[in-house]
Amino acid sequence: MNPMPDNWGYVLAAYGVAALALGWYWRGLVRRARAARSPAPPRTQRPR
Amino acid sequence: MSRYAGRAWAVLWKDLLVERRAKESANALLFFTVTLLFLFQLALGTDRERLEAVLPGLLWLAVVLSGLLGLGRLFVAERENDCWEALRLVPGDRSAIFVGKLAANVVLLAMLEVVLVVLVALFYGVALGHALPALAVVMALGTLGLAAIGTLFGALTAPLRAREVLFPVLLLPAQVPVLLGAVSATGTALAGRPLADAQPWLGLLAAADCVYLVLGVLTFEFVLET
Amino acid sequence: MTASRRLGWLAAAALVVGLGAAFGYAPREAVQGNVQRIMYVHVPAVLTAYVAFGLVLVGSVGYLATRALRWDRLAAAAAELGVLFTGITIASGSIWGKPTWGTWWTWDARLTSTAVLFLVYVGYLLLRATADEPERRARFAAVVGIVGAANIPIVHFSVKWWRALHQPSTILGPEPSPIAPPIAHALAANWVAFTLLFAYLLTLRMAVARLEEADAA
Repeated sequence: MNPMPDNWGYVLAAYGVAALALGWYWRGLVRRARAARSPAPPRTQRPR
Repeated sequence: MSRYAGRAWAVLWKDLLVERRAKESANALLFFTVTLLFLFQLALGTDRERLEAVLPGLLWLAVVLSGLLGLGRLFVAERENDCWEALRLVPGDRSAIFVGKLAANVVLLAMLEVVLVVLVALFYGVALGHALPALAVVMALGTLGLAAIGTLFGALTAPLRAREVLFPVLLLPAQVPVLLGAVSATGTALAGRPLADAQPWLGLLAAADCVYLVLGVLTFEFVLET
Repeated sequence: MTASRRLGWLAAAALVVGLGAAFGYAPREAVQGNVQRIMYVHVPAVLTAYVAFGLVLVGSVGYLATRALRWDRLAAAAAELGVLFTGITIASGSIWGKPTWGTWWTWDARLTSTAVLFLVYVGYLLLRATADEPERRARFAAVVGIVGAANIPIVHFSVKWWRALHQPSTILGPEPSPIAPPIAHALAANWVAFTLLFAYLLTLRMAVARLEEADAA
């Protein structure tokens, strides 16, 4: 039986992709939440 | 029940009449399908054996791509002629409209497929003879599934700005299972083998057709609303 | 709000535990080596994605039944997360496949099904992005959400049988054949962690949606 070499690079890549994707999404949500909660700057009225 | 069928039939008849009178767009669609067949051959090279091996795939790709052009047309036409409101005001079960439109789409696709099969038989010298009944069954099942989803999404995307992009984007992934089943079963049919050999695929096609039909009937009025 | 943040910390803790289980507790797999540890991301991700798409169905049906936008917010949030986790599934599956199968992509049944699902729900998100009126957007998205969910089993079987047709044998697959208990434990731990993370992100996403809707009003 021929065990395969450890491919830590691939392991790192897979975990890294997952972490980056989740982290990016989460940061985006936190930023949007903060923006939505802060008092909105006064805007000129637009006809809706 | 018969009133439902009558309503569906009325929609079907109206659409077929419109098609027959405005022959240009139906003819253009047919021409597009034929052109596609040529394009496949040009792009994929002249290796006859290789093409024959993927014949079912080419056939159904032509149907699916033509469907992208053709399946949404019925609803876009309604909007362009301001018939959309009238359609919505039809009293009673609106899902009858779905059935009528679906039938019209099936007729449209069926006409395209007849031409496709004839051309393919001519080009590749496929002996259609006794494969024909099996082939017809497979194509009927596949067409029904493609048209059901196409009719539902056609109605759904018709009022949207981005309909030209959205219709293919929504439709193609949803048609993947029907495509897989139809291609596999068509391969079996063209090889002259009995339908029983295509068994899991026919079952899948039948199941998918049922699911899409039921979904279309149930959700159509939500699409037509206000 | 505080509940949501507590959920976030809980998820973070669970993820740390999961990482420990994946790298410390779980053994080095005999045949594939340490590359097999990618499974502790890949499998929980796909399971979470399926849960997410199930919630899209719930939200879609809920909206059509009640017309309360709360259900639409659930469907939208779940769809975003479903697409995110599906993307992670595909990426991790592909990265896992490269050293074990030699290519970045194979028409493996799970990868292919997941790719189709990815396309279906990206389409759902694109529909939401291009429909303007909130009511119509919610209604149309609900229909597409229901069709998408109905498609999941159909896609699953069609791809499975299709693949059996075209690739009859697999020598090395990203699935260790007998699942030893430590591997199962590590898998479970990571799945719990992903589920908690999903729940946290879902509540956060829905809260953002509600806030933004209130702002727009």
